[in-house]
Amino acid sequence: MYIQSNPALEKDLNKKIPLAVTFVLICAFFVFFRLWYLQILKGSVYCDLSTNNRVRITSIPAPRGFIFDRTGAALVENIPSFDLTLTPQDTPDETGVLQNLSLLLREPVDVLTKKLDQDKGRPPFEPIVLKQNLSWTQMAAITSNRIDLNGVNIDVVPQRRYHLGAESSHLLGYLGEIGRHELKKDFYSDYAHGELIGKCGIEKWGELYLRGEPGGFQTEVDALGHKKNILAQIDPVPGSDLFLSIDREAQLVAEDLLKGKKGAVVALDPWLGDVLVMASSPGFDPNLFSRSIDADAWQNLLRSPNNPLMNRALQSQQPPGSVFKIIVALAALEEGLIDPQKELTCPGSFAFGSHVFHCWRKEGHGAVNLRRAIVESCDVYFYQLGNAIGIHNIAKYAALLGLGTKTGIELDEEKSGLIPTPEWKIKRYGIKWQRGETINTAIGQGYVLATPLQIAAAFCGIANGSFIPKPRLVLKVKEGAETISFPPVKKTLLTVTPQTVSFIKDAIAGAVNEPRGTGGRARIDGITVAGKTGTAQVTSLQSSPAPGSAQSTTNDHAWFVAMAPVENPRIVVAVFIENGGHGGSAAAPVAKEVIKSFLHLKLSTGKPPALPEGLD
Amino acid sequence: MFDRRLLVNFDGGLFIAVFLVAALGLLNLYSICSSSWEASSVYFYRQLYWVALGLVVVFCVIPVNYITIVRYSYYLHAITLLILLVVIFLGKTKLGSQRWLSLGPITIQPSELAKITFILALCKFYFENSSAKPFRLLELLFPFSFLVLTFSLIYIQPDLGTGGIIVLVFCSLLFFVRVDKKSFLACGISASMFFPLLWFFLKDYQKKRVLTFLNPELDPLHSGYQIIQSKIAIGSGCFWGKGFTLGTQSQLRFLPEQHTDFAFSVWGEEWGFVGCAVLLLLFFIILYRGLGIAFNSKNVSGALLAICIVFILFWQIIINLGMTIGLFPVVGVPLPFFSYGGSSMLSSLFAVGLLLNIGMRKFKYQR
Repeated sequence: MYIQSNPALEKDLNKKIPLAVTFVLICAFFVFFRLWYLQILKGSVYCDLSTNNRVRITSIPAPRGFIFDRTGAALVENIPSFDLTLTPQDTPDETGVLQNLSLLLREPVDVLTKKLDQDKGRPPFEPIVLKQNLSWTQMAAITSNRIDLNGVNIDVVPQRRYHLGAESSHLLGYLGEIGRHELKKDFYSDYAHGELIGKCGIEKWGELYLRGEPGGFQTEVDALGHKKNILAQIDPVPGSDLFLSIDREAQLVAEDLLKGKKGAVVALDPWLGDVLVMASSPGFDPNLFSRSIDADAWQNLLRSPNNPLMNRALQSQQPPGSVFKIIVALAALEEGLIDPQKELTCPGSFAFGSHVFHCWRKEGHGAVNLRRAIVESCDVYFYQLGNAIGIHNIAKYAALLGLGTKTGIELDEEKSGLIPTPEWKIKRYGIKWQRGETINTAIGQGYVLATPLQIAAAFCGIANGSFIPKPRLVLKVKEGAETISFPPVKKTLLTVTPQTVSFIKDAIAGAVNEPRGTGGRARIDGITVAGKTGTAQVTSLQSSPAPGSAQSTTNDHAWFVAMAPVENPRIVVAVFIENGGHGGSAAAPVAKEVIKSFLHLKLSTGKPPALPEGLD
Repeated sequence: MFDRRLLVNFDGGLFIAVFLVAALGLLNLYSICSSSWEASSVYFYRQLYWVALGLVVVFCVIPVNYITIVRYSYYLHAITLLILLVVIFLGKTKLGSQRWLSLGPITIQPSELAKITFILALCKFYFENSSAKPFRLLELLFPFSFLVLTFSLIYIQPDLGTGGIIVLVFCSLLFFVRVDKKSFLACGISASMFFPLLWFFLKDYQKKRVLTFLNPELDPLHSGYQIIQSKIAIGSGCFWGKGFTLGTQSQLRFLPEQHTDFAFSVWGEEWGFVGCAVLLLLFFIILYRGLGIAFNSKNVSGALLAICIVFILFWQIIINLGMTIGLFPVVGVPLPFFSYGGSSMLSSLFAVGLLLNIGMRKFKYQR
C-alpha cells in the first residue's frame, strides 16, 4: 500500500515545492537585509551604544510591610541603611580602590577583599555590597573622595528593625537570603538571587503580603561607572502591613520573666483564639539577621545546646504532668464513671501489681474527693481514677480537646505532640500496652506529649465550655486601602455538659485561691484566677530528685495553665519552664504577671469585657 | 539485501551543512562559557556530548526504511502523548515550566519528541487518505483533532514555542496536500477569526512578551531589555565582528537564555555580518537540500515527510532569528543545531536522519 502512487498529488507537489523554495529564499533575504541594516547601516550606532553608553539594570527592592500588634503598636519596621557597593566592571584598579576605601573607612584591607572574593563569579556589572550601615562620617569621607573611587557607589536600602526582644524572635521570624532550593520552588519563581525572604515565623507566613513588588530602573552609567541618568524606572509597590493578635505589653512582660530561663509562654483569647502572647526562651536577636548574618554567629546559634532557634511555644513537646489531670477528670465526669463526691484515701503511694507509684506529697493527702484531688493535685487519686476509666477514655477526651494534633496556627513549624493509645504502642514499638502505663498517663507522664500552645488551646475549650478555637496570630492584612481580615475559626466543637465544665472551673479556681491549693502563687486581688499546676518529671519516679541549682538539666519541668477571670474568661495562659522545678513556684508567678498585664489594661478602661460577636 | 543505490544517494551536502552549523554552535558556546564569571564550561562539554549522541542517532535512523517508521507512527505518537501526560504529573520544573522529564541522569523535553512523532503521524494520515480527489473540510477533521490534542498537551507543559511550531507546520502542510479550494478558504477564514481568541489562552508572561514586542518601553526591565540588548549586540558586531570570545556586550550575559534562545546574538556580536551571512547560508543550504529531497522523492509519503521536516526546521530558524534581530516577539524557540539544549539537538538531528533516509530511498520502491 505504501508503494501505490497518487499521480494527482505527485503532480501537485512538483508544482508546489519550487514555490516553497522561493518562499524560504524570500525569508532568508528578509533576515539578510535586516542583518545588513543592523550591522552595516546602523553598526556604528550600536557600536557606540555598546561601548560608550552602558545601560545597567538595577532592581529596587520594595519596602517590606510593617508588622503591628493588636493595638496598632509597631513590632517590626524598616529603617534606612546606607550601603557601600563596588561594581567590578567599572573598577579597573581594584586593589588601589580597596586601599583607598580601607583608609577612608578605617578598616583593614583584607576584610574588604574577603567581601569581594565572596561574590566572585557573579556578573561583573552587578554591584557587590562591601559594607552595610555606613556611619555619617564614613559617608562624608566616601562622597568627598569619589574621584579616587571608580565604580564605588552608596545605596540606600531599607533594613528591618525588630522592636521586640529575643524571646519574640521565633514568633516574628527573621529574614535571610533566598537559598538555592527555595529558588526552585514555584512560590519563589519571580525572586532574584540574593533577595531577602522570611525564613520562619510571621516573616515567613506573611511573605506573600509583606514582600510587595520590587521595581527597578535602567540607568546609563558614565565611563567611570557612576550613574549618569535614569532611562526608565518602575517604582516598587511597598509590601502590605500585618496586624497581629499579640498584645505588646503582655508580650514584653512575658519576655522579661522568661529571660535567663528555658521555656515558653502562650496566652490565648479563649473565644477568638487570638494569640495574645507567644514568647519562647532562649531566643536570638532578630536584628542580627536583618541583612545577612555572618557565618560564625549563625553556627553559634545552630550549635547552642539550648536550641535558641526552636520556638518552644509550639515545638517543645513535653509531658504535661499534672496539667493533664484535668483531661482525666473531664473524661471521668463526662463518661459518668465516678461519683465526684466519693473520697479515696491517699497514703502517699499506690501499689499496682509489683510496682509502687508515689504521690508527689510523700506523707499523702488523706481522704480526698475529685475536687480536692484537683486542688491539691493528688497523684494517688488520679492513679486510681486513670486505672478505673482506662486509656481509651483518656485518649478520647485528650483528642477531643485537641491534644495529639496540630492546633492549626499559622506557623507551620508547629509540632503535634502525642496522645498514646495501646494501638499506637503496638504500631510504634510492637509491644503490648501495660496497665501501669495507663496509671502513669493519668498524671501526664510517660508517653504523653504536648506543646504549650496545645495546652493553652485545650484550656480555651474549658474556659468557654463549647469549642476549641483555632489559634489566630494574624488579625488582618492592610493592602493599601484594602483590608483582608481573618475571621476567628472554631476548630472543634465540644460536646461537654455545662455541669462538668463548671465543676472543673470551680476546682481549678480552688487550686489557686484556696489554702493548700498548688497554684496559690498565681492569685490576683480583685479577679478570680483559675489554674492548674504541672510538674513533669525529667528523672524517673523512683530515683531521688536531683539537688539542683535554679535550672539544672535534671530538674523537673514546670507547667502552669490559667484562665482569668474564671466567671467570664478573657485570657488563657500556658507557661512552661524547662527544668524550672515545681509548676506552682516556677511557672505560676509568670502566668500571674501576664494576666495582670493583659487584664489591667482592659479593665482600667472601665468597660466590662463584652462577649465577642458571632460566638455563642 | 544491501542496496548500493542507498550510498550513492546519500546527501553529503546536507549532512556537511548540518555538521558545520553544530560545530559553529559549539564554538559559540565555548565563547559564552569562557566568560570568567560564568563558571560553566559544563554547558560546552554537555553540548559536545549531545552532538556526538545526535550523530549516532542520525546513523541509526538511516538504515531503517523511513516507510517502516511512518507505518508505525500512530503508535509512536501515542507513546509520546503518554509521556507528555506523565510529564504533566511528574515533570521537573525548570524556569517555571513543567516540561522536563527526568530519567535518571538525563532530562528530556518530551515536547521536542512530540514534534517529530506528530509530523510522522500526520504524513501517515495524508498519505493513506489521499486519493484523486482533493480533501474536503470534513475529511480534515481527523488530523485537526489530532493537532488539537497534541497542541493542548504541549501547551499545558507549558511550551508555547514548540506548540506554535506544530501549528505552523500543520498549516504549512495544508498548502501541499491537495485541499478543496472552498475548504481551504473556509479554513483560512475561520482561523483568522479564531486568531484573536488565542490571546486569552496566553499566560500573563506570554502576553507581556507580545505587548513588549509591540512597545519595548512597556517592560524595559525584562523582555524589552532582552530585545534591545540583543539588537545592540548584533548591531555592534558590524561587518567583521568583535572576534572570538571578545564580545563586550556583557550586558547580554545577563540574559538567562543567552546560551539557548539568544545564542545567535552572541554569534552576531563576535563574528559580525560575515559570520551571520555564513550561518544564514548554511541554514539555507539545509532547507534547500531538504526541499530538493522532497522534490526528487518518487514516493508521495517521503515527499510529504521531507516537506514537514523542512518546515519544522524553517519555522524554528526564522522565529529564533526574527526574535534576536527584533522582528518577532520573544518566544522560547531554540535555533536548530546551534542553540544549547540536548532535546532540541537530538530531535533536530533525528529529523535530519529522516531527511537523509528519504533522500537515499528516492527511487520507487519495488520489492
